[in-house]
This record gives sequence, structure tokens and C-alpha cells, in this order.
Amino acid sequence: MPPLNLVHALRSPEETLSTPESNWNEILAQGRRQQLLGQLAARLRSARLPNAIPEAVQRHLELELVTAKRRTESALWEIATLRRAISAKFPLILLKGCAYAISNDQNADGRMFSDIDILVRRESLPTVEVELSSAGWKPGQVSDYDAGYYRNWMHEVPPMEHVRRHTVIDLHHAINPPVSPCYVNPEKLLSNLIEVKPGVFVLSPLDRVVHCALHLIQEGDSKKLLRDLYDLFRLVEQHCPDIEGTVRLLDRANDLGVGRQVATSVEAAQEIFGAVNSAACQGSKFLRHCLVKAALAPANKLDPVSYMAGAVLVAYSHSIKMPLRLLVPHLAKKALVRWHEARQEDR
Amino acid sequence: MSLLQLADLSDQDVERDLCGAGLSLRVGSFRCCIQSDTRLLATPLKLLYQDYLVDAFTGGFHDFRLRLFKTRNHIWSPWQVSFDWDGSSPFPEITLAHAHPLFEWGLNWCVATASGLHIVIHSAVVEREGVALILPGQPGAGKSTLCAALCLSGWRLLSDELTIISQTDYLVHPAPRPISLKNNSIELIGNRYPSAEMTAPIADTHKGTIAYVRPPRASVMASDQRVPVGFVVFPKFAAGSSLGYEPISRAMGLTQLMEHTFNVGLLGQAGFEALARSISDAKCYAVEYPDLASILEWIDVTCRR
Repeated sequence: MPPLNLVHALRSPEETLSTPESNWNEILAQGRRQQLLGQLAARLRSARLPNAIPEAVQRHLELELVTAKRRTESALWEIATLRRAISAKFPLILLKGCAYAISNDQNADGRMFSDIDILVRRESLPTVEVELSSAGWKPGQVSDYDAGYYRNWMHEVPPMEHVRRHTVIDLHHAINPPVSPCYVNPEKLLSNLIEVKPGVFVLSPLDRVVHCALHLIQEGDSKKLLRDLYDLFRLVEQHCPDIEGTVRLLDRANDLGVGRQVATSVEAAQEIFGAVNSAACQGSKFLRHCLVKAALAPANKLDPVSYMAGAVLVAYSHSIKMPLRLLVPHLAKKALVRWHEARQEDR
Repeated sequence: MSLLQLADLSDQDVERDLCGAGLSLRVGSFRCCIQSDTRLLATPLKLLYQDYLVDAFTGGFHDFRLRLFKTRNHIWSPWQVSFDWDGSSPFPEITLAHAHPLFEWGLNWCVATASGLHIVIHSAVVEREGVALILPGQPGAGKSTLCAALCLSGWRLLSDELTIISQTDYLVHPAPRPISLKNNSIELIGNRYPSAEMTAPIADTHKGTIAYVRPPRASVMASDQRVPVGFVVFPKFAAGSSLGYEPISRAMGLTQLMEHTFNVGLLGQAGFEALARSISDAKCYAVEYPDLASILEWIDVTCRR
């Protein structure tokens, strides 16, 4: 039997009780690498296990919980600042980490996050950008080409960083690019908003699950994949736990035009973390395998299968962000720029 | 578990452990497992950490598993060394010759990070007569030099870099480590204290030339003895003039200490209150000094119970 690892510990916290002390080295290392240590600590705490864990390990877990709690507090404070910075006629819609935290989703417990993701209507984007800018969030410095890429094709503007506090805002006008073959019309999401504080909104629980599932598969980033899959697993567990819930989720995802992507992500998350609702086999089996392989890639050695899986995901993520007629010239341009920069550096 | 002192191990043993399963070293309340294929760590570690405990058993849990491995970008590039703690590093790769300083900086970072539940202040701290003297200072204020001189003249070293104050007992928790001296300080301390044991100077680091002083044996042996804060002194080097000092209020001392506290944002109100309580019996001073001898004399006279 392989040594108990991070995924086992997240799946069945009680198994950590019988694990030899030396296994904690690897569990903590994986937790740090995957940015899941805080969530593991929270999971162990809610299973009322910390007292059974070696004291030396507890110290690290406790610190992680305190850090996550503090990060959440500062993010919530920052949200209040944002609400004042943006005029009242625009709803402040939170996405991802902040949305989980403010709506007390169970995956928010111990979760690390750094950026604040918000959603505004595309037509209000210029005004909101000016308002954020005057409150101290300066537009990110990107090349003219990248600026054009964001403006013309993407669903977000370059990240804005606060000049003094260095908090970063990702300002979105949709959850996937308007040029995407499976573009989700934001109006469909806006009609189901939930007001969590005066003037502060989050997507409906089902839409939060859909966004999480879509986001992880269109990001194509293997580094945060396991964390994203764990988020998704906990969100599904909380908001659509049974077969009926899964059906509702997939109906909603189909309605938004991303049924296949959402089903694939959910199935991958459940394959890794358990609790399979086999009723829903609507996703791509091949992509699900890629997600699982890439998320569980070993850290210190190059594994060809995980590597290929990661490459497939990158290719797939591009294909659902942009049609080929835009993608091919974009990648060619990017490759050229990178080659040019590498040559400059060598000199 | 069988514990030895590093001095009991031969150079070959240390090198073998570093290249193999790792050298299991106790630093304060932390257990570190150090691996390195650079062949540049055994000598400085044997000198500086000779009084520290090592664990013959390398299994079990380690707070820090540190890897300093040789690396290079291309087969024709010069060798560099990288620092790694569980897959993360705040430092870029640097030239192989700086492997030992990289280890010290890396371990400082690990200790500072993992002590985050306590108050962690960027400052030197020493002890005499059962109370701690905290010496915060901007880089260049001479706190390491001062710290080395105090430790070589009877004070106990608690740390030359990180003052760790517990939020539960409000005491300074010692984490004695080698003292890093920079540039002119190396000669200054070497001349003043000929018996001081130091590593060979390492030139051209981003901090200039540095050498490390072996922490006094008695300080290492007493690293579990926690002490309350007695004095907070903000030293400032000012060439030419004579020594001048002024007592400052504890409120002022607290505000200035906060500026040197790494995790003030993490600890929030509780941390602020704990820090305030920890210095509630301390005397605070701001001192401008023209040379080492004058401030040593001033401290010797002033910082007494």
C-alpha cells in the first residue's frame, strides 16, 4: 500500500490517526505545494482530530489556519472598500475565493487566496475601471499586444494592483471569453444573483459550482489543478450532494452551454476525492483521465503520462477559450515574442 | 532516539549524511533535515553548529526538510545552488560558492515563517541577569556587530536576527544561530575578540562580504530558557559624534517595534496586545553611537536590573 498522502488525508481524515509520524513530512509538503494545507488543517479540525496529530505537525497546521483566517478577514475588509469605491448603481459581484468566503461555502474553510475576482457588466467596465483606478488600483502593466488580447478577446482586463496595499483585483465581464465556442452569456448568471451584504452579490450556489468546474478546465494550469478540483468536490458535496442535485447541476450547466465541461470536471473531482454519482456520465472520459493524471502528477520526478495529460489540458483549455482562427495567430505571435525575449536575454 | 552533538560526528560522517538521507539537526524547537550535494556545507556546519544536537535517527517528522542542490541551466553554464523547502523557495539560485550563506538565509526564513504564531521581530536579542535586551535596527545600524560583541563579552545569545516572543507567556523564546558579520565588522570583531571562531569570509554576496561567528556554547545549551524583555534599544550608527541617547516611552518603543515585526498583519489585535504586554516592564532607549566601544560601555552601564 502506498504511504498515506494528501489526497487520502483529505478524503478520509480519520486515516491520519494510524499513519506513522514520518508520513506527515510528505503530507505537509504536498499540502504546501498544492496550496491545500489550510484546507487540510480545516478538514482535520472539523473531524475533531487535531489532538491525535503529533504536536510538531499541529504547530504547522495551526499556523496555516490562522493565516487563512487573517487573509479572509483582510479580503472581506477589502470588499467593503471596493463597495465604497464603485458607485452604488453597479452591483459588486464576487467570484471564486471571495464568493466562497463571504457565502460560507464549506471549501472556504482554511482556503488560501490572494486575488479578488469581481464581475461587472461589460458596458460598465470603463466606468468601474476609472473608479478603481481613483481608489488606488492601478491597471496592470502589460505589453500593447497583451492589452489588446485582453480587451478584444478575453473575459477579464489585466489584473489591477493597489499601489499601497498591493491587493490584486481581477475584473471580469464574463466567466469565459466572448470569443469562446461555449460562451456563457453573463446576463443568464446575473438574473440569479444572491445578495450577501448590501450591494454585494455572489452567483447562485449552482452557478458557483458551474463556474468553479468551468474555470478549472479552461485554466489549463496543472499547478493549481488539485486545489481547484478539491474546491469543486466540496462545493458539489455541499450544494448538489445527491443524484437529484447532480441532475440539477448538469441541467443548469447544459442550459449555460457548458454541460460537457462541467460534467468532466465534476467526474474528475469525484474520481480523486471519492463519492461517485455514477448517474452522471456525461463528461469526456479522456479529458477526465487527463485531469486526474495531471492533478496527481508526482512533484519531484518527470512522469511522461502526467506530462502528456498536462499538455492535452493546455491544448484543450485554449480550444475552449478561442476559436482556431484567433488561437493560431495568437500562439504564433506569443511564441515569436518569447523567442525574441530569450534572444535578448542571452545577449 | 539517540541524540549526539554535531561535534561528535566526523567531517566524513556529516558529509555522508548531507549527501545521503540528510543531517537531522535540532535548531531551537525545530527539527531540520538538511540534504546537500554541494560538498560546501560540512565544514562551516561542523564549526558553527558543533554544540547543536543531531539525531542519529533521520526518520520521523521534520519541521523543515531543506535541500541545497547543485543546478545549472545549460551544460556549459557555471554551477549554481538552489534552496528548497517542500517545493518552495524565496531565493533564486546563486553561485555555488555561496551555498553556506544561502543555507543560513534559508533557515532564517523557515524559522521566521514557521514561528508565525508567535511575534517575530527582525532584531538581535541577547540576555543578561535574566532579562532580554532587544536590538532592532535598520540594515546598517550595526545590530549584528553589536550582537556579536555582546555575546563575546558575557551576554547570552538568543538570536542575531529574529526575536520570537510568545503570545501565551510573553517571553522571548531563544533561537540562537550563527551571527552573520558583514564587510568591515568581520575585521573589527576579529581584532577585538581574537578568540572568536568564525568561518572564512565569503565575498560578493548581495550583502557584501560575510562571515559567520560560532554562537557561544553556553547560549546553545541554554536555548530552552525563555526570558522576559528588560530593555529595548534602537541603535543608530552616526560617525564622528559622541554617543547620545534618550529614553523613549514604551508607547513609542511599541510603535517602532511594530515596524520591525514581520507578522504584525497576521497577528492583528491579539498580536498587538501581546507585544504591548511583553514590553510592559521594559525600558526603551534610542541611541546614536560613533563606535563599538562607546555603545558597549553604555549598554554595560545602562542595561542592568
